[in-house]
Amino acid sequence: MAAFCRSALVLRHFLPRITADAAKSTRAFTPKLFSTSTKAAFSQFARTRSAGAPSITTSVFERAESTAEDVKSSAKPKSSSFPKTSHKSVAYWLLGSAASVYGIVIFGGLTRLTESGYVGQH
Amino acid sequence: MNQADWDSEFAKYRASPEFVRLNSRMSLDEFKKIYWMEWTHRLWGRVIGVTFLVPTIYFIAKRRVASHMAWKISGICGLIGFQGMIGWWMVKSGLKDDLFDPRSNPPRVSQYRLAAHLGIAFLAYSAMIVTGLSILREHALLKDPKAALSLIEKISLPHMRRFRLAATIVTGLIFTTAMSGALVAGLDAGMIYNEFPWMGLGLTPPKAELWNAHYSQKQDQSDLWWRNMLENPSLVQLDHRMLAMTTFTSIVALALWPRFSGPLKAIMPRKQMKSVNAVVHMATLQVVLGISTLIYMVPTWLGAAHQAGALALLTTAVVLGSRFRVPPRTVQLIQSALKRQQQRVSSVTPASLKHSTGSVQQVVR
Repeated sequence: MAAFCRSALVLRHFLPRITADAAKSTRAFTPKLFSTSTKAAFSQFARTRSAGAPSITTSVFERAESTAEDVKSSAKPKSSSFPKTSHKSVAYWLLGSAASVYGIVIFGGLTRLTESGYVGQH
Repeated sequence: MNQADWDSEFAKYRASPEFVRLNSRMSLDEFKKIYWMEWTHRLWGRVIGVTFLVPTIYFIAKRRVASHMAWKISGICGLIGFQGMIGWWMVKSGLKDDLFDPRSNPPRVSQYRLAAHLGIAFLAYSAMIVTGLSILREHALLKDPKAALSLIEKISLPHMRRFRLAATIVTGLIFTTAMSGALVAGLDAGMIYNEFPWMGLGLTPPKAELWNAHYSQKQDQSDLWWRNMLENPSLVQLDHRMLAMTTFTSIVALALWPRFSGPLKAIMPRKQMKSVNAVVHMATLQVVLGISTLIYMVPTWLGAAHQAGALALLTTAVVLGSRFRVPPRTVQLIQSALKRQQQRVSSVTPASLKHSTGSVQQVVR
């Protein structure tokens, strides 16, 4: 699950490259949409950044954060930059998920109280 | 699942320490019931994982979220994944071979992992509530930038800041009390001292029982205090009681403060006051649930209600805190929205005023 989320984060940074005008970009970069190796993808990412790019040892989030700012500030068509305010549907989905988590917490408590938690191990 | 599958699962369960020690008389029907509970819980967890992960990817890909929000929802994704792993780890801890040792306590899920599992669940829940509400709040504030700025001015006053700090401390207290409750649940420490406010002959059990050398695992007993705090049911229950009473008193004080303090009473808006009332009402209900659970020796439905009450109380506290906070990013958006609104109002004729409000909303989107 954690690896899947990491891949999702990687995926996010590839998407702006696909919609942006390649001629405007100063980076020669071939997006690998379905790359399963996030490590390889990130090192390729680091190589193609402009001079003064942080080394591999710097935090992944620092690099990703500055790239996100590049995406916003450089001349890109509106569809590939993040809005200033999130959509309301995101809020409703979050609150709905919270309600679901509330339910599973109760159910988990019941699982514990009925001593059901020991089932299903091999 | 056909009969052969059920027989094989039941056979595996019969080999577990749990069955051998506690449930040796269980029938297949009873086994089916508890199997269903565990299976549903895991399935629900996976459903939550998928229904959170897929929309996260969608919202980020389709640029429906602000970039800072993209990070937040990805973080919650990670939290959910971590929760699944703790759940797996938890069940595993109930089957360690040394639990067959007749000298040890009855086989239980380690109370530490139970507390970790509950803690992460509460954190993920709180994160979802706070981020969801922050988006709705931003939209509501941007609709009327002038009123928004006056509200922001109000909640930045020194008395309000102090109140907000108190509300944050109360939220922390509620969370801590809930975690101590998880330790109580993990140790079945609700099955002793089923009375309130006394615990045995005094308000607390005797000191020797609370700081029991039996729980210390080091020769020099240097781990006596923390081992007892986390593994001695008597002390664990006492700690939960003390935390609960402290939290309740703090919440009542927090609720009385804007009623009796002149300066705060004058500036507390109605919406925020309603939120304070929600916290104190929920806290009262939770105390009633807790004491009832104890004196009736933890019937299943009461135990579950007490846990539900804990999360509901945390919700009211978190919502209260969010009503006193407007992040600088949002303040900036409000200020630029107000500027645009004022520019449009000053540069248009009365006839085209209708259009100006329309374009402010367009900008907001």
